[in-house]
Amino acid sequence: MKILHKDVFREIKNSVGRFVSLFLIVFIGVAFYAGIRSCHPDMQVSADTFYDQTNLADIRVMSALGITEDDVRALSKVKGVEKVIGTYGYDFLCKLDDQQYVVHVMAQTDGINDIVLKSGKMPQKENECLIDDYYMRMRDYRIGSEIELFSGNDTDPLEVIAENKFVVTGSFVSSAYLSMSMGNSAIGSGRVEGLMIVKPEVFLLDVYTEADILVDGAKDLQCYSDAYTDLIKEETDQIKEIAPVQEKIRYDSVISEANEKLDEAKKEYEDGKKKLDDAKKEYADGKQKLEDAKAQVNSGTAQIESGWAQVNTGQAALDDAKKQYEEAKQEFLIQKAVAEAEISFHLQELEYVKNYVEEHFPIDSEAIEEIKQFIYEMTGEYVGLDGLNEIINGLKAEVDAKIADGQRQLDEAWAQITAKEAELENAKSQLYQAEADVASAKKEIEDGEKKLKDAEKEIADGEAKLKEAEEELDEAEQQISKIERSEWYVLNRNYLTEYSSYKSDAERIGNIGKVFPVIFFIVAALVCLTTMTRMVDEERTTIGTLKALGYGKASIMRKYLLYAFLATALGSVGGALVGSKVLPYVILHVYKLLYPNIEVLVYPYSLEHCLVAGGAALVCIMAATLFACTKSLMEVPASLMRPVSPKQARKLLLERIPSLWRKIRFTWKNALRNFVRYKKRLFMTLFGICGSTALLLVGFGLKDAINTILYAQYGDICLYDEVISIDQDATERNRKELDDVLQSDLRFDSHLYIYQTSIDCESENSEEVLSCFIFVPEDPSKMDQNIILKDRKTKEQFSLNDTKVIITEKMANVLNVKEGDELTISVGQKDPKKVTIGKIAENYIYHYIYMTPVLYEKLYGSMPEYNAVTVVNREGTEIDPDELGNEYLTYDAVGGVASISTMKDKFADMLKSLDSITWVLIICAGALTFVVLYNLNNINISERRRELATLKVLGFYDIELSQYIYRENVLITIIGIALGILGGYFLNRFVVTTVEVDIVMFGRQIFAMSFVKSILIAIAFTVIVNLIVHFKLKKIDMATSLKSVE
Amino acid sequence: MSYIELKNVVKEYASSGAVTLRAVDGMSFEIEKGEFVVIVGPSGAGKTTVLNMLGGMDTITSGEIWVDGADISKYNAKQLTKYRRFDVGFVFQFYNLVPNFTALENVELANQISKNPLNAKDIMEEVGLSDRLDNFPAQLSGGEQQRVSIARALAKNPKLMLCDEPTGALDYNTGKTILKLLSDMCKEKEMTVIVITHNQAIAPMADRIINIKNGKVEKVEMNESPVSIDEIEW
Repeated sequence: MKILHKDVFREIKNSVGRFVSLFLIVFIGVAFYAGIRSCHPDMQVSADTFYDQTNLADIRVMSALGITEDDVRALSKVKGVEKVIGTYGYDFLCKLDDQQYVVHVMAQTDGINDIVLKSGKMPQKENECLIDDYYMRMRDYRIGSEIELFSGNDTDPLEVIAENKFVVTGSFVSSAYLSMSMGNSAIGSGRVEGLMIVKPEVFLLDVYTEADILVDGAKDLQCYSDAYTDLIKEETDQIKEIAPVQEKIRYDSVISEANEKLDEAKKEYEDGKKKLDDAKKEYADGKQKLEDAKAQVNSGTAQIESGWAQVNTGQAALDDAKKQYEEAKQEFLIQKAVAEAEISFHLQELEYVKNYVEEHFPIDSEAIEEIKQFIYEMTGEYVGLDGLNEIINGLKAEVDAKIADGQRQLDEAWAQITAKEAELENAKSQLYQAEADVASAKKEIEDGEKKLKDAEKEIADGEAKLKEAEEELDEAEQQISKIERSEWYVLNRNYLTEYSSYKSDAERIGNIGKVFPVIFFIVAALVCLTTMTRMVDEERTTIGTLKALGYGKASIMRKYLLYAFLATALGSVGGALVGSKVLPYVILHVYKLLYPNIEVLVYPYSLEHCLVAGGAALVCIMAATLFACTKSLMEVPASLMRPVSPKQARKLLLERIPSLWRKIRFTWKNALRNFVRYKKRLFMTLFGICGSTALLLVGFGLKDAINTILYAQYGDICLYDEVISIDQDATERNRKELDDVLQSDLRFDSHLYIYQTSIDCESENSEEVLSCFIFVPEDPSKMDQNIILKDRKTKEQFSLNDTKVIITEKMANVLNVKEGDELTISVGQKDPKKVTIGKIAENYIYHYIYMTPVLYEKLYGSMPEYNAVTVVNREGTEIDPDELGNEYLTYDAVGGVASISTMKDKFADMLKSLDSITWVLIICAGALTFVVLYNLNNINISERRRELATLKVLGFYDIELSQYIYRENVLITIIGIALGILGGYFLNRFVVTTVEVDIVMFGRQIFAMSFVKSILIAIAFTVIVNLIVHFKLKKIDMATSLKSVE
Repeated sequence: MSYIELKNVVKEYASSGAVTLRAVDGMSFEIEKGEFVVIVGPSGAGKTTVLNMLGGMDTITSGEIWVDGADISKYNAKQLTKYRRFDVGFVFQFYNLVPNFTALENVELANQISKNPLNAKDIMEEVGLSDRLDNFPAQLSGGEQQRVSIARALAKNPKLMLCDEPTGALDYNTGKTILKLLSDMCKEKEMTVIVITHNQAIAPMADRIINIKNGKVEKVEMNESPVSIDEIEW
């Protein structure tokens, strides 16, 4: 027994090449199987560990109306909630080098959604912050840099946060954001570029923006497992149960608050209106008064005029009177002078008389007579002197009285004239006064008129304002009526884009792991089988000898089983150990490029995969060895000790046609006969080359399939360059504004309004409920400028009609439907509707149902509310997506701007990782091809050593000898490659459909270059192996090879 | 100078460890053109090694081997191949026919690589196998296979025929006919034929008998009147 063990080790030593190749094949097979299979769980476990370490929230509750303290309390009471915190997240803009970026500012939390500090220290003060590591590196921030935040809309940032200037104290990574794509934003370019953590006190909002929840027991589960999903689903349902209550409370409070505000506004409006009315009334009064005043002024003016007329007549009369008075005065003065002269005459006379009397005293009678005569003459009376005196005095008194009377009369008249004059003057001055009054009244009227005009304008303004206010009120009212009972969004981790994209990336790897390792494994197992069979065949004589010596079958077999076991076990263990670490290490690190924030990468050994791979390898190879041994051991020792009776060469069918056969060269004849003779080995070689070529083709094909997604989707199908989504709160005015801008924007060639929303889709042929997009173009005739709907194979282009929908290919596959079948679609809360499939169109990313607005109206009774615009750039126009986003987000109607080029880049990034895996695949397939070919050629040479040595002895040149072997290899390679290409073509189909995830369809086409590359690589390996064979042949020692029978 | 001349030929094998095995230890002999030579000696004496070296199948450690005026011990691999191709015909104990080819094809295999080959069918007729042309080796008896092997060697029309125990795997009578065939060919075609055997009994049929022991030439006998194989019994 001991000696036999020795034999095993000696055997190994003597056939190191075989042992090593056996070991290597098993190693590669098992390593690949265990490694690739481990990638999926390793990726999941790595992520899960990271999530658990950072307490990534299991559930996030959000609401458009925010989350109140009360909500948080209510949530904490829900069964199964381990911890809940309310926290804040808000998007701001920050400017850097004339560019503005959207940053998502979050409150620092403890115990949920913890961050990993990458550099610096946590913020201590309100004006300190952390920024995410990627942003820090990308934008070249340092610890101590300052960041100033701006609002992305009309609100003042200081209404939301206490500070808007922050000092960076460090950088962090968050498990909620595994990669650099941090989601979308309603402001700025629409893309969040950076994350910021500040102290919670910085936020001034009354309500939390979200509540984060850890679920009891969720940490113990692997987050991508069904158990976890179920647990979270259950918890989500429980939270959803309390949601309506909390929603109502919140809704009521918000509505009442809004209504209060509305009422206030209304009151203000009413006040304003009243004031305006008052003003109007006042205005009317003023106007009336002004009219009156004008009338008065007019009548006053008339009166003044008539006054003047009177004054003038008065003046004329006065002037007359004055004239008369002057005349009367003149007359009076004359008469007075006459009378005075008379009187003085009389007085002279009297004097004379007196004098006479005195002279003539005593007066004779004559004298008396004379005097008497004289007096008489003088007076006509006979009066004495005294009488005369008296008369004269009387006369004088009379004259005096008369003069006085005249004087008096004159004075009276004068007085009258003067009075009249005064009167006239008075009237005049009164008239002047009146005139002045009228003038000032006129001026006043003018002023009044001006004021009135102003008032008029003011009133018009006021009215306009009032109208505006009215509109605003209407709008506000409308908005309040629009405030829906803001639903609670109870989100599981899937809302984190990275969380789910990581998941699907892992799944993709998992899918690859389902197919490839098996193929690898089969190839490896078959090659091992051949090798072991060959080994047992080579050892015939030894077996015979041992048998003849009397060893039992079991102990003879033990050697070969042990040999096989050692090689396989070592290979399996080595492969499992190395493969389980190295392949996941490589692949996870490739993914780390995509998800740089994953802080934890673990590669736990998966006992299951190692055991399955190792076990399968062991079982296969031990069974093969057992089979080979049993076959030999059945023979009697004598026949075993005879040389292996050479396999019977047989005449080929071809030889029945001698004319043809004779024309074939010897070496070819030999090769052809060998095909028949060494069927098994050749079949294995064929299988090896075929399998490897197929794998290579699949590898390249997969690359093509992935590349096709981008080229075809964004080159041939989606012709539009930007998608501008329309804010659902946009008013008609906002929409009109946007439309005008779009019409006049010269950078765009055309645009198309569309209605696009996520719907659930079902068919009778499948269990699956598929989430896809419904896509309704406003103008179906413009579809072909934006999206090409065509058959993938025939390239026939479709157009929409009003009776049937067009769906995309992957969707048709998943739902297992074809043209003419019915689909049930459900949009939101609307009733499910049935639609008929008209055509199935080529599409690679997401699923779409296209229909005309007419059909939509038929289904839902109303036209869709178009919620996006697809825009085609003018040819040759380069548009920076960020700039465009910044520009268009300033319009109220715009909810977001997505650029296809950005999306394309994102997808390209996502798929690049798969690309590297394809390379791993290609390299492994190449390695396998090499090992298989090498091993099989080795067997070929060792089996035919004698024949080859004979040829050498006959004097065949090295090259001739090699050619002798190559004929077969070349033939087998050609056939193998041909079959491999054929098989690879179908395998590729299978693999592509297996590997692809639900939301994308991979290309189904393999590019010509890939065929060429696969063939060239297969040929290259064959050439290399054949070169090695050439040197091996050269080394064949004729003397020893021919010396004896083995 | 003789047609073939070995001068102090030594062949050492570096076997495992430090021990070097000297299979041929300073061997020298001469052979003339057209001679039928028998090299005899016990197992392990170095017969096959000498033959291999003479046939260009193996290199020598030291010494010279002159064949038809050329020192083949100085040949490189390519020259040796040419030498085997055009000048030497081999016959082995185990025939070493290519199992994939029919008897005729095995002959043609040799014949298509030589400069002035003999007609394959004629040769087959000469060795008496004209009715087994289309049989595969596995369908032939040992003697028949050896005849094919001889035919294959002859077809190249070589200067030298080297036969390593050609009768070793054959029964007595068949062995005799093969030896007869070889000696007839030697005489007919004036070909130099060297036969290795451990059977001293057949020595009398040779023109020259070289006895080898322990890697050295023990003695060389010239046989002035070789007897026909038919007269030899063992």
